[in-house]
Amino acid sequence: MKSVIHKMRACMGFFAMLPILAGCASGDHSELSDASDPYEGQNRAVFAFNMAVDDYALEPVARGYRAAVPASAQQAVSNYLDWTSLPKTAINSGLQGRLENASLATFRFAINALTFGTADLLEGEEKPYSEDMGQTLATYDMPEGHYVVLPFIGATTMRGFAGYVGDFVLNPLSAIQGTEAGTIRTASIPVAAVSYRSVYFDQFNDAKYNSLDPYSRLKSVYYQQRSGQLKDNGIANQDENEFDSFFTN
Amino acid sequence: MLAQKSLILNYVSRLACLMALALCLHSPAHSADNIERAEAHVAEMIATVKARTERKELAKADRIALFTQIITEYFDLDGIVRYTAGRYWRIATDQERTAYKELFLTILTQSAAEQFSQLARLDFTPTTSTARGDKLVLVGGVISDSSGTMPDAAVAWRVSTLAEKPAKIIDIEVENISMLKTQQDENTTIIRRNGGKFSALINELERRREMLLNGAAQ
Repeated sequence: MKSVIHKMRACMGFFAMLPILAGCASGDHSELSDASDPYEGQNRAVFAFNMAVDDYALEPVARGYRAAVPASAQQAVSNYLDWTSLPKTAINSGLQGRLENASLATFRFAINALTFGTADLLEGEEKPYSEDMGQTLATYDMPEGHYVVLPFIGATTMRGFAGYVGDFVLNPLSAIQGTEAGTIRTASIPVAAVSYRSVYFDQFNDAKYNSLDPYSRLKSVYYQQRSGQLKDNGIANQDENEFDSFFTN
Repeated sequence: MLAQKSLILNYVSRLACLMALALCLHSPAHSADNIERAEAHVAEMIATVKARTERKELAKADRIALFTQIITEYFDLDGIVRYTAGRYWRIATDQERTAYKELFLTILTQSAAEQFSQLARLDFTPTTSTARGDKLVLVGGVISDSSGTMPDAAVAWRVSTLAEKPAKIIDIEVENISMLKTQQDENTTIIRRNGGKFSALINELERRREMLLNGAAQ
């Protein structure tokens, strides 16, 4: 209980600082411009570090994982990781007033808890949209802030990072005490990285090896993906007008 | 007074005609026509690819020839080349523009030919299409990997439907990621980081083409 109160306090303190952080980092982000990436030099250095981690650890492990682990076991791991993200979706959907999505996530979490998340007992049924604190902060009009690349985590923005921390603090699964729970939580992070890397193995390698500038390609992908997620929340920041210039250039 | 009244009536009736014409152009019937044109165009392209790849193994040269034919016939190559160079297209010389187009097409077809086995496994199932104004239609669908190694992905073909011009594909959007936009961001970053020199992009593309031709790329 003490741990939960401590986390709530930390969380409140963190969120109290958000407007200050956002104020320092706000800017015009209506399009991908140099203004959105004033730390490009540092970001590229961190990106190079992350690519080295991928070269020497993540890619070979993901390659081995794909080759050695049976597809059913890979699916079970992927299901488990999806399941552990459902409380985050439920909480953030609630905070955004998307109660139907919150109910869907809660129901799916409760049902799949019977298999500890390793099997999807509701396969074929409607799935909730994935929601995170970054999207929640966007619905509360928090500015996006600058683009940053973080060691191990990768591409995000100031708002995205704030959301990442918020999700970590608010995750109810992290309140479960015990050595086993702690071990599972610790192991989940690298397992999630390997699982994600193996699911999108070819696509990631395409961006890594076949692009002229992997940094700018992944940055573009990050912004477009995020924009698509925000469109689900009804806050589109990239629209079809962008393609009007196709006919006017 | 009568002449004035008839002038006003004439003006009002002309305005009404113009408004009616504008409404017709933006009417659901017009959008439906564009959607039909765009869907038929995408379906025809997929059928062409399937017909050429089914029941036979293609040599690399044949794969490159197939993709070159598909891109020049079904895609708006000139528009894509112009758009992906972004604002720097205006500063490029004619020579640079020609070189860029040639390199762009070579790299695109070479890369597609390299990834042919992956692409051949993909199936497209159409879902819903939406008109965006009177110039664009998004033909929506799902691509699925018949081998099951890749999860299903939402895809949208962005098709230009300009009046009196054949429908052409200008972009493929996979899970909200536009290939056109991504390429533009990448190209303009390279030019920007090289002091706005278009030749820097050409040099990068030449290097990339050499890698592909030597089989060094993955």
